[in-house]
Amino acid sequence: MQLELALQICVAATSTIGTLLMGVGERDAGRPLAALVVALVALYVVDYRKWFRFNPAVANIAGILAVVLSLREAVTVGYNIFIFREEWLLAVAHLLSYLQFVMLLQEKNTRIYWMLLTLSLLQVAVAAALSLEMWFGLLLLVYLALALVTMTLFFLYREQLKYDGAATTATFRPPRTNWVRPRWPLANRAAHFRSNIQYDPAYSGISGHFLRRIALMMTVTVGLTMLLFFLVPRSSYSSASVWSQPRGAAAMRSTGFTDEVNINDFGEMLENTEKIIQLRFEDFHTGQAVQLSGEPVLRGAVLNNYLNGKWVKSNFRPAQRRFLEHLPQGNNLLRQTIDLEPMDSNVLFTCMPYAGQFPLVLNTPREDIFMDTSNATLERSDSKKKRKFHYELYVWGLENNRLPDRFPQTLVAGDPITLITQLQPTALHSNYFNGLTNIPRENGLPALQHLQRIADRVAPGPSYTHPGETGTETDFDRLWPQEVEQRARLLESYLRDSGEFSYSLRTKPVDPKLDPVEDFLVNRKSGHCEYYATALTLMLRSKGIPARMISGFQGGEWNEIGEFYQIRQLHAHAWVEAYLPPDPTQFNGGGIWLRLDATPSEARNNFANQTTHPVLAKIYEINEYAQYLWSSYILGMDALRQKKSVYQPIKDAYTATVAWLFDREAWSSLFTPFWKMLVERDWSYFKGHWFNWRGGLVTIAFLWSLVGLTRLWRWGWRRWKKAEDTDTSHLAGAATQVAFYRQLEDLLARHDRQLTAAQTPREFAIQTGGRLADHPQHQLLAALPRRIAEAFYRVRFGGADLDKTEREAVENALQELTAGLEPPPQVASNGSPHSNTP
Amino acid sequence: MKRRHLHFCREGLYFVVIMAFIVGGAIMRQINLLMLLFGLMAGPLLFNLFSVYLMLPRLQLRRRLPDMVAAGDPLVVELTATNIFARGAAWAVVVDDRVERVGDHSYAAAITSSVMFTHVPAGDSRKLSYRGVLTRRGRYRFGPLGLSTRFPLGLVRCYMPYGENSGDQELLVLPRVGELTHRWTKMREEAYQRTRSPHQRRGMLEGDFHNLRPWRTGDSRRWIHWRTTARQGELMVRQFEQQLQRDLALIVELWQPAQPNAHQTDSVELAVSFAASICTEMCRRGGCQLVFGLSATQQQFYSGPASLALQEDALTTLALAEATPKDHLPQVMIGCLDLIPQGTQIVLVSTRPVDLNDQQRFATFWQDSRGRSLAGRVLPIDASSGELQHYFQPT
Repeated sequence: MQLELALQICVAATSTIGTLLMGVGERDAGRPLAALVVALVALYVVDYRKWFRFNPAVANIAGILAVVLSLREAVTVGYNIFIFREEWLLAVAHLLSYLQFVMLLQEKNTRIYWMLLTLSLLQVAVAAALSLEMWFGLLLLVYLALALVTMTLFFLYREQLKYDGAATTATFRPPRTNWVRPRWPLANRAAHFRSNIQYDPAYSGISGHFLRRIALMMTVTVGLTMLLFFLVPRSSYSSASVWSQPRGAAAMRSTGFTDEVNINDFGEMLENTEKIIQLRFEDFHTGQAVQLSGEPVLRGAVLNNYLNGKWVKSNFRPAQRRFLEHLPQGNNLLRQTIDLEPMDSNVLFTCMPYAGQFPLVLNTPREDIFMDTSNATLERSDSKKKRKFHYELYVWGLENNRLPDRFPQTLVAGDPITLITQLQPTALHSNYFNGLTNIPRENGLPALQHLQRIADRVAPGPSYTHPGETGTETDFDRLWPQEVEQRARLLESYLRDSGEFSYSLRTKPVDPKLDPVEDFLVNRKSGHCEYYATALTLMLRSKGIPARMISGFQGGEWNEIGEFYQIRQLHAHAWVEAYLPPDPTQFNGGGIWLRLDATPSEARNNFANQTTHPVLAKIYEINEYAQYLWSSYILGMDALRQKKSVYQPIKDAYTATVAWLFDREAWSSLFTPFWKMLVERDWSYFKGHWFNWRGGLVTIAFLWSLVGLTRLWRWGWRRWKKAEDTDTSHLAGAATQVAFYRQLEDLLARHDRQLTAAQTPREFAIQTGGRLADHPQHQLLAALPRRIAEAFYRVRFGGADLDKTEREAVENALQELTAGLEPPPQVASNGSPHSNTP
Repeated sequence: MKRRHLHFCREGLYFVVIMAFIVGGAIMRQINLLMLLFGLMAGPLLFNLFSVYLMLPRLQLRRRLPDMVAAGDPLVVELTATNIFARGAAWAVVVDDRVERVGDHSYAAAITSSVMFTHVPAGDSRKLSYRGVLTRRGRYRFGPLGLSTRFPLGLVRCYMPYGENSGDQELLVLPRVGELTHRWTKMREEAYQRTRSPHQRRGMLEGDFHNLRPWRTGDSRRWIHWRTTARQGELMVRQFEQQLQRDLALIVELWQPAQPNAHQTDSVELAVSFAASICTEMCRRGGCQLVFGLSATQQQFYSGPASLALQEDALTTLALAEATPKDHLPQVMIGCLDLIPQGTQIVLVSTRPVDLNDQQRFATFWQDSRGRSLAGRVLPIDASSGELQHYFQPT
């Protein structure tokens, strides 16, 4: 393939992929398609067939039009150039595309090729600022390979143009001010030389050598990039892209987790497959990933006040920063790692219960997280909700490998006192709990009479009373928690298990005049989880049991490869927390929150979990894991993650290795199996431990050390030998003896007779002798060079020493030659042949 | 190991500016993908940097020059590159060779020629030559050689001088030889006819040995060259040529004012070329004595039988001759007096009109009796006038 054609194809492909990358960032397919068409047309029509091309004037006009078009695009966005806008970046990106189109349609030279490559690179830079998708990363690798091929081809092409017969000219002549026809024909001809280039099949285009080189460059580049990317220190957060608000698929999720929620909102979410959370559990002690036998339940917003189909959140206490500084002692600690996509809510989703009175938050700046202690929820600052958010905290306890459905006291071991005292009924709590027994009233009378009637029917008995006074113990506090739980379970069971209610995402009201919950309970009898949770909350409250509605996520797709849960919008769920009074038999006991879920689980799961073919599921899982890695370790690599994922493991590995190196037992255990194998012929160790990575590393390091030492020794030996060779003190005799030949060469060189590269000293001496013989005055000298050269051969190559007579003969010959070739000036002035100076 | 110099090529500078722009954006906006892109750009740049830095020390160079070349004739310089490393080829190495006219301060600086060794495998050699033309006579210094490479991406260039002094070689560029006209030949013939005498005849038998040729009917048996006949397998005879040439004394005066104009410069070169053409012609034919005298910045005079060696000496002298504003011609003429045999024609080529009757200028010459006897045989030719065109056609 011709080099230039290969370059043209690669430049067209690079330009197209550059635009495609930008299209990925911008989520616009039009421009990449246009770029593809223009590149193909340019390749065939302009480059290959040469039917058409923009002449420079047209290209300049087109370039100016492109600039004007882009400026117009930028100006329509805003006039204040001191305020950065993403749209301006887009305008720049579009300008790059337009210019690229213009250049593709021009006749190519090295300048155009280079500008096309530069434009393409700038497009990728803009695309990198706009993109969030994993596909961008994959395309970037393709682009890298193509760009390396193109740049290398461009280098070859340019060097070939430069050195293939290019002339360099100098002016070894005086400048002529007035041009006159010279009498001397060479007067106007400058000295010039033509460069030359060696033709080699391995160099001329895309060959095996070429591809191997590209592969090597790719490997080195990717390796260096990884090192650079992971080791360069970051700031406290990463912003992923310049969008102040992510676009398209990655746009901020509008969810039912805001401060005011319509109970119909969940219906839309439950049909949305968009990813929202990646959740990972690790055992505190072993660091191993943990999969729950049940579904993970992520607690989110706590909704307290209900009115006409709307829940409104109220914070009884302002959110504050209260966190544990030290992890409480105990078993069954799970570390939950959560990556939350951008949302329109401040709520942070966590599995409960926290380990400790307050959560111990890890690897997240404390200033970004607040705790609402009354609702026991976590929130983040407003500025953080627009970005992907990473946080880690400990969840305490498992019951049969499930998260417990009541808190705080769920663990036997550990620090139960701390947990129980958390909810001591204080004055503050009394007011709070009174609020949780409120049901809507109309004209001062309790509303939702249908709901109350049903609650009375299902859980007969008088309602518990709450005096509503602060600082006093209520009747409710003197109840047995088992009694309250029994009533609550009856109501939960009625909604979930009676069969009267079904699960549905369609929530069209039957009687619009009725409250949506009453319409659900009386007429429609079908709805999604938020209806069930709302109905149960209000029914519990009608019986005097403090209850609150919780919205969050339940369930998720377990990724076997990445060992994490992928949670989507459709896993959104609502349930109820009912407060049970303290158990009087427990010392210093406090009340607990009981999680109740009235939604028919089987029906909900049918909606949430779609079944797919196992092969597709596996591919899907791999894709999910790759996206998780991309999202967590590329887009989300910030200072905290870097410390946790890069610096800390390196530090730990270093510490462990150093400790291992100085541990006698470790060395002993390393060599004992070898000893047993060699001496006792005992192979049992290697049946189970055929490879030990640490031992392997030590072995490799040891072998490399041996190689290094060997090389060092060889290098030193050579240096020493060289120094010995150049030390000529012991060879002074031989050196002196060879020096006479140097004198001969110097003497002849002064008379423009030099040893040429192709001559041996003997040939040189014979030739010089012949020339001397041509001159009558020098005929007597003709034999002398040969005589000296023969003596030189005997010493230099024969290893012989000259005796005194021979040395004198050589010295005489040299003196004779010197006298003959360089006569004294006064002799020359008398007309001595072959020289001069009167 | 010689010091290597690294610097960014123009494309490399653009590349670095774009990288700076990207890393600036990455740091200011904390965009990880920009950081990733920066890494992907830094990789090739570093690869290019290490590649060029490690490439050059593996090559050894050798230059091969011709002994001498005439001005205006094609010159071929052969370069041999040897990869002395046992592993790893050298790719796209450019060898720059500097060519400089020795001792010439009045003209433009050196010229650099380049060849590119695209691939020199490990432990192997490659030869490559470059061609050129040197249009001015004189001594030229070739070197030092320089090695450079930008392989494989052309972003970074590494340069390493090779053999600062040891790699230098010199080349003598001889004067351009032109064509002597028919009138010159006729003038020489007339001069010979005028001075012909039996005792001046040289050679043996019918003339000087000229060549060997096959035997023809009528050839004398004495002419048979038996050794060649035995070797060729056919009768070969010696061919003799009637000696028509005669001795010549060529005196060249290269004079020009301290600030010469183009015409005067051309006159000097024409005079040198004319003298070189005469020497070449005479030495090619041989069979006569040539006395050569030069009046330039240095004065030289010598004589000898016309031969290739004398031709080489004369052309070398002419190649290095430089015009002078001083008048050395009378001294040179006096110096040549002893070397010029009786009856020798004297041609005086000068870059200005010469009047031998100028008693003041040539007082010493006229005081010498031998000078007075030779004065009548001097043919002055003024190279600055159109007179030269009658005898000589420059090429």
